[in-house]
Amino acid sequence: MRKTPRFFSSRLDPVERRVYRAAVVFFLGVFCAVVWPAYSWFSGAEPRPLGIPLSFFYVIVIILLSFVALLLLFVWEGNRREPDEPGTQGEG
Amino acid sequence: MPQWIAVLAVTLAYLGVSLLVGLLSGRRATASTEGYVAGDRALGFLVLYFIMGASIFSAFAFLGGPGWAYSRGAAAFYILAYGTVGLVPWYFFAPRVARLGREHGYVTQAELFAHRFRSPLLSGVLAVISLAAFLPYLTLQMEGAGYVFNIVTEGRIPVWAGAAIAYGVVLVYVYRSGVLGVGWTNTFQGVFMMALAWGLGIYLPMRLYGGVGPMFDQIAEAAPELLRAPGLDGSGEPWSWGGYSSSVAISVLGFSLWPHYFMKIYTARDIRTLKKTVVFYPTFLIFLVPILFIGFSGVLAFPGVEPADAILPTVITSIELPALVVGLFCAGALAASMSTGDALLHASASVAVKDLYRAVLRPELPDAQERRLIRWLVVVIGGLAYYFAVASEFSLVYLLLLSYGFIAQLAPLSVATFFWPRATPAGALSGLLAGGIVTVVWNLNPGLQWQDIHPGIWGVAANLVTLVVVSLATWPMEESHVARFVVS
Repeated sequence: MRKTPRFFSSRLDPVERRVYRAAVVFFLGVFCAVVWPAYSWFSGAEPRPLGIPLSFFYVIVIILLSFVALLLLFVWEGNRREPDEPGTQGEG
Repeated sequence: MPQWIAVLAVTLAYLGVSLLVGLLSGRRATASTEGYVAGDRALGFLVLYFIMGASIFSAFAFLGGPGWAYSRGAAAFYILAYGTVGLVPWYFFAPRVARLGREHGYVTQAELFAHRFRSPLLSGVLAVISLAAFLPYLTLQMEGAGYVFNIVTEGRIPVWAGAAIAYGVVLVYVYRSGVLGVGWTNTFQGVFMMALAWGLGIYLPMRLYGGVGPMFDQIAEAAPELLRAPGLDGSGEPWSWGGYSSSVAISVLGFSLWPHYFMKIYTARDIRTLKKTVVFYPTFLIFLVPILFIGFSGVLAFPGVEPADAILPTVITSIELPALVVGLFCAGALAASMSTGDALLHASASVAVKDLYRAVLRPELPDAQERRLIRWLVVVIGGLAYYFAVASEFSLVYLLLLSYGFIAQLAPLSVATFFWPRATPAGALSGLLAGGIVTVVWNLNPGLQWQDIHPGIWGVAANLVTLVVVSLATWPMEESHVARFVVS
């Protein structure tokens, strides 16, 4: 039996594999962005873009980035395949 | 007419609409356990989106969120921080969970894990962990509801009666309509809360300071420490980065695995619907932003409010507002409590029957009987939580603190389930056990603390090591069985 973990289905083609791998790396990056040390570089009350302290504004920007990335991934998948092709689409 | 009567009338009107929506929605489901627990696997995007979103708009977010912003400042941003990636793991593993659910008829989380590891005992352990994490949360939601009633009626309705009225309504629609009752009321309640959050979040800083910008200008002048991340800890001292970061990490690990969320994966109509829900989930976090504005608006205008969680009702009742607005606020806060409490109540009863009673004690339970039992348990668990909320001296706060630490222990198990074919039942069980014990021991012994790291993190580390070591030391599971679950 295969003993090592496999994170992406072998049924994915190379392009899909690359995109999903990039997505996983991106979301790990998003997590890193909201904890120490990255967040500590943007943790001050100054400046205040749109009147909101940087520490707050920064987290809002990260939320929006996360949303846009998910949306792009979703739209990309939708353009590639017939929706809901059983058992294959986007399975890790 | 005295103001409080008008407020009460608006609140009761909201409860009436909730009840109506909850009762009508249940008529679409089949009279089966699958219909009652998983909505016949036919839920569309709108309902699923609001179920997931309304669950974070809990009494904690509505009362605790402003409370944190008010007393601990930037520490409150942690609620937003973990949400940025909180549901993202679903994008990658939920399609597989949904497919397996359809193939094997699962409606709860433990059914999947217990089947993968062929272990009814694992099902029982997971059920106990889930119930131990659910009960204090449900109790907290009930207390929140009672509290809101009490404040807006200026003490005329005691906490016990307020909680009874709000959760009487919840009980009726969850009992009658199951997950569809939860879903459609959450949709109604979600729209309501969003409107209210933005309305109040913009209005209060405007009224008290002349706008959001001027409000933060003044706070930066008077209390700059509140605006510097990671804010303050519970005692008012600067919070450590270790404490903040590990709290975010433990929440990220646990968030997508909370059993009452997880089982909603089975309710989705199809994979695209499920993925769309994950995609749009961050938009719900944006609705938490004004909630935090409300907390900040109290900092200079209403200093010294105790407990800090009372800041939102305090601000609302301290400034001259029309009865309609106060009534809408009251209804919104109740919606926050109820939309989380109903899902917890529904999940608790389902888990207790399916994962504990059926899996461990009575595998041959007929479907009709099972559904009836789940409905009765909705009533029993509701009663139990109500007892803890209003009558018992016993505080569940400790369990609440531990709950995220416990739920995060499901992360190594989930990874092993889907990605590591070599994981064995003994490994899974001993990992959970080791993780749970380490979490509790680290919680009880502050001397073991290092850099303020959340005890659950040590638990997850112990869990992972134990799972791997014990799995490698025991016989592998049958290949053809495991192949159905793991990515290949």
